[in-house]
Amino acid sequence: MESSLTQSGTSAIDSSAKAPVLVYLFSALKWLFFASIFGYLASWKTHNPEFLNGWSFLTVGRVQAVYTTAFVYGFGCNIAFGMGLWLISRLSGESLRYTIVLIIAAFVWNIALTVGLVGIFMGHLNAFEFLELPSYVKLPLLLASLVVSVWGLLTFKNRKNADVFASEWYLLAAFLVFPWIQVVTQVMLFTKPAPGVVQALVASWVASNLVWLWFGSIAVAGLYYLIPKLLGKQILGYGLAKIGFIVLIFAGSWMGAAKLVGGPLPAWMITSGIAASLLMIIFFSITGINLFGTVWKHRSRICDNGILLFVGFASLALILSGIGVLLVSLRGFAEVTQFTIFLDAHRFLILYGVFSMTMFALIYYSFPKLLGREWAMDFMISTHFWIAFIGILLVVVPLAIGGWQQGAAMSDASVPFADIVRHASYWMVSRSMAWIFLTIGHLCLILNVLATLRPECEAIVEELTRTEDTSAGGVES
Amino acid sequence: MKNFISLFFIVFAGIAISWFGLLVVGANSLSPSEEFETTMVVAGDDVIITGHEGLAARGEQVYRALACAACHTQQVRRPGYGGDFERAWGSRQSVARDYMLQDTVVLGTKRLGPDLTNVGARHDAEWFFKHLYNPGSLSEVSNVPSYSFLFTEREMSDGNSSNSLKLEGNDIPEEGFEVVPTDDAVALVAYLQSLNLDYDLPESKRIK
Ligand code: HEC
Repeated sequence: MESSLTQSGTSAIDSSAKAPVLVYLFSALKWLFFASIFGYLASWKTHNPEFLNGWSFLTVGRVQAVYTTAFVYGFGCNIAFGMGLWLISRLSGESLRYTIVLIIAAFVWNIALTVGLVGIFMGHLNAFEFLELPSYVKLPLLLASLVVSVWGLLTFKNRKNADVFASEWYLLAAFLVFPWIQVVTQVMLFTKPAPGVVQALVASWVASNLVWLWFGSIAVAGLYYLIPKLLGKQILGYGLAKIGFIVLIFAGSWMGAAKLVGGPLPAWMITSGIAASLLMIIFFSITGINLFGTVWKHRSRICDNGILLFVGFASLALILSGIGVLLVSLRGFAEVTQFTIFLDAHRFLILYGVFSMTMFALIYYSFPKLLGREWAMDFMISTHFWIAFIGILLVVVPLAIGGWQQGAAMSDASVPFADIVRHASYWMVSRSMAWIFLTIGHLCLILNVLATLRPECEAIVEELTRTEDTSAGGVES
Repeated sequence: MKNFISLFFIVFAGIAISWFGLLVVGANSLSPSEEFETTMVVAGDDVIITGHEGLAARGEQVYRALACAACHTQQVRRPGYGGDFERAWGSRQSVARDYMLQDTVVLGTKRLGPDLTNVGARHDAEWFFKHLYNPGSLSEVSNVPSYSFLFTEREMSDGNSSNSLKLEGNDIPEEGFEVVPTDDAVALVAYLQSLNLDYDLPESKRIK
């Protein structure tokens, strides 16, 4: 990939990317911290809705919307922007230009998001999953992400490397899809709302493409990049990668409607979603062989590299979420799991197990390169991994089992409804426990970043105390 | 796929086809139209499908603002698919036409609470107010949030106001005080009362 470039070429690229990528990274970490608190609170309130319930702004549904939004648009999108830009400039062998525009876009994005979250607290939220942000912040968000997309696409277009690697297809797809789905959301749900149930179809289409073609593409791009880099080995069965990509673009984009099985929509829509989900077997098998297969082949190397742990886990989680996609699209299976916490388990596996774990790996890989300095606490990387691993297990396994039970009991009208809810909440307690682990994991990452930036932090503190001293008329030492 | 233009074109085509094929075609086929009308005669009865109007329309906004859809769906699946029918959440499947004139369609994705498509047929206004104020006062429940912030406790001037809640047990306010719903609560309850599937459509008839 970068073999044609000299070492100095790579570092010139990294120094051009440093400022904008770090701005997105720091914003992402700030939101990750915020989302950790609200993730815990939202989870707790789903099994204990009376907790902190005296005020409308802390009511269950709003806290859940705040958590999802902060995680998806705060952590998820910021880190996807930052890492996406870094990857595309590295892979293209081309520096990022006019980076000040990217930094302004980051501020626009994060300010609009903050306003949007305040709006959600105040009740200006929408009822569609993942699209809760009030419509008045959607335009600035669109513009900011458009800047990132255009920069990504142009960097690729001006690339110095003739070879185009699988990561680049996925990055390009992500950059193109994200603005598109935002426009569709705005136009078809808010500006000129689609008639009746088509709204649910639009929301489902957007949510599915947000998950798979935006976050999924960025994650897969990251995995295709990191695995050969970390192992120094080629991707197993790389010749097939292209087919996997084509299937994701042409079939993956249709999957959304499968979620609406049994709903008040014409059968052909649902059938198209199910057919698309089944076709995605091809994507999951190929990327599974390419990514997890390669890691597995060199599994003896995993334990001596914390980043490989993240990457290996994320590739395995990709296969497992693929199996999940197939199962929940089957009518008989969905009859039980639909509307249950089983779907929460699946969502979490994709967004955290695949996407976030890949992003953590990318952060651990790129940050020292951007800074030109090693991690201050290297050992914390695998510590973070194991804590996150426990956290993910504590979410996914209990919610999957509990969701299946919940669905089975719901189909049996002789079971009183209150009993179903009570049983489901036992399983949901586990998710709240998990959030404690996940949060500790996030703190490992954040502390490591701060410790690595210690010289800069100290300089800032010194700067601040100096001005205080002079303003207070203190004596210069 | 080495060329910017061809790669761009592939992705663009992929997303455009699914957008057009699913959403644009879907929106066209499900708009109110001659084949897909909202006023019709079924078995001799006039059926007029409405959206939510007046107070209920405001209530729909309250429903959205309080994110009730985090736990409640509004869709009844067909008899034989899941237990919706057996749980008496509706005596027929809900179909696209039922939602055609609603401003925002909140089908919902999660059932931590019962389906509400037909809840207006199950309870009256007084029940709804009490449920929102303190769900535990009506039945043995778990995990149901109370929305007591939709009510105000105030000093009675000249006897009970006509809209004050008839509370029991621990909920009874102090002597001389009463609990009355806010405008939001009144609108929300009007909305809940309007959720009703008690009419037949050619494509979905009630099963007695
Ligand atoms: C934390 C999840 C949750 C949220 C959020 C929630 N509910 Fe519920 N709701 C429940 C549960 C659980 C029940 C079942 C109570 C029982 O056992 O009878 C219920 C029951 C109901 C019922 C009675 C249904 C019936 O068939 O008897 C109504 C009406 C209702 N909720 C309205 C609302 C409204 C309006 C909101 C928003 C302001 C809301 N709910 C928010 C969980 C929730």
